[in-house]
Amino acid sequence: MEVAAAVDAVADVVAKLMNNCMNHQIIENNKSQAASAETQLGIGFRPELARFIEQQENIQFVEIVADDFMHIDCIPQALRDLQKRGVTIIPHSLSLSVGGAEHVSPQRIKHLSSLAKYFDSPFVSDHIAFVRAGNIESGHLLPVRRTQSNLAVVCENIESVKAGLSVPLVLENIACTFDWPGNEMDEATFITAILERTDTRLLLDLSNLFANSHNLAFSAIDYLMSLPLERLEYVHMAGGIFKKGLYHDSHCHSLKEQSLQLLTTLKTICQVPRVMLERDDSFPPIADLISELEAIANA
Amino acid sequence: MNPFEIHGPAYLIVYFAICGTVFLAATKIRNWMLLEEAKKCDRSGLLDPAMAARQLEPYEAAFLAGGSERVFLTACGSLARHKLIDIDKTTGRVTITGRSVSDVYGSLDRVEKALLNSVRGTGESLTACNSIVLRATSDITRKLVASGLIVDSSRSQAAHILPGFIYWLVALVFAVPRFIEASAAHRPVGFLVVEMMIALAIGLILFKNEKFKTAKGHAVLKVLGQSNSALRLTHATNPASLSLRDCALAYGLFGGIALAGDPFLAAHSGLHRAYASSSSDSGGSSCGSSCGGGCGGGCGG
Repeated sequence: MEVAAAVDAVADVVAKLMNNCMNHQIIENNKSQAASAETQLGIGFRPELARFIEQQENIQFVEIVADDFMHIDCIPQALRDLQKRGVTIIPHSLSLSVGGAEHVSPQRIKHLSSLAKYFDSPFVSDHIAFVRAGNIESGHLLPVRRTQSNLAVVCENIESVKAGLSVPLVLENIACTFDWPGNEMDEATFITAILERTDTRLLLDLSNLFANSHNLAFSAIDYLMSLPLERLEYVHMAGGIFKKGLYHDSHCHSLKEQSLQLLTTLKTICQVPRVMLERDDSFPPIADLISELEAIANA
Repeated sequence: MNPFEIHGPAYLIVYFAICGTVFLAATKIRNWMLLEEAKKCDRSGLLDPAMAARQLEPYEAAFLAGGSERVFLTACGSLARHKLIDIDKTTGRVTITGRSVSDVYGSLDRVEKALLNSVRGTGESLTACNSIVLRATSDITRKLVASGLIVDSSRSQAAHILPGFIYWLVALVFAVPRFIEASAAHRPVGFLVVEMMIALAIGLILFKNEKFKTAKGHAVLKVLGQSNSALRLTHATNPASLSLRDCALAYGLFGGIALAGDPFLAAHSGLHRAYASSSSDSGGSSCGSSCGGGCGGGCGG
């Protein structure tokens, strides 16, 4: 028994070493790729930040909440002005509910597609989550139970969304403070399976990753290393708050050092095409926002 | 048509129809003369409204949008938003806050400096502040006239007098002979006197001195509104984040729009109430009074 345990331990160490070597190889390969392309800087467009965004010449893309512009007539001139200036506009949906048991509403897909056409967006995005069931809106992004059967449902929904879009769909990992019982795989495996089966790209929210790694006690680095980072399209960064032992991805507090460290790590692992700041409420002084954008750009 | 052959209410209708038509024609002639005068005054050489818009400072844009009243309210709103002054919403008294002015004084617009300088000791009434700020707007008026953006009718005596006299002449020509004829025949003339007085009183509008936007002024204001869409959004949702200059431009162009629940909103609505009562006491501002408080929107042009 002791010999068997020792063999297992040695095998474990060898496996880890080999893994590290492979990771190191990936890191070295990607470092040279990362150096060859610049990361674009972006921010979530909110009316409260419209003037600030207009004044920042280093902003190369903005993400709009697609659900805020249900009619093309509602689109403010400020967004059209940004587009004229060459700023890329990315419609980001909160309501497709690709993780839901119901089929995705064709109207929502059509709306997202029309926004993408209007802004000539390179892609649109939404979350790997569900927001409604039995016509009841949760008002929040809810995690999907990670089972093979749910994986098939999510993939089917994503295919139906992709069929209705004229641009690629990019999918985001969400933050959650709990896990469903009976998960058959970890989140990184689930996300990887979805992206590969549906041939979609990844919107990696590093603040969500930090929140989940803190709240659900797993290694954020291991998670990163498990993802198909060659599919990475862009990165979300947002602030949050620690409360009663949990980290809440509030989008209305300052950016945390841990999220920035993850971004630094990610940039050493792979090429990050785009990274953006999300701020939804309790807007800080302009100087603080500029500092956060600089921190993201320089991470 | 011989008006003497028409009697009673029919005559009244015909008379007011003639006066109304002549009034409209006189207004057109007046505006045409003023605009021609404005073209002569335009020394800017800027025909493109976008270029002309870029030349304007926030308080000049405020004057273009809403006259001297808007300039005053913009200064009050911006300084109060940046906690440099306090405005008591019940008494309308303006006081200097505890915040040090010296660190920002150099960057203030002259209108803002005039307002700050007008407030001393225990504070000053809005009326007193307004009259001081009004004096600081004379340069703005001159620049806007010289840029061909507004017309100052007092500069064109002919446009100021001729159309009004034409209208009065017509009003009298169609009423006086009728009055003489009725008097000679010992018929009642009370209604004729009343109609003449009404017609002549309406004619006073044509003699009024006013500053109104030219077509170029309207175009520049439109450009300013469109090119500051982002400012408008932030002004309506997160005004505290705006710099003093942006704050003045936003108030100047869009007026006081703020979110419900914003602590400034209460003070701002109080400011408007207090201003309305103070301006009625003092006879109002030169521009605001001619356009029902919203000078920028509907005058001339």
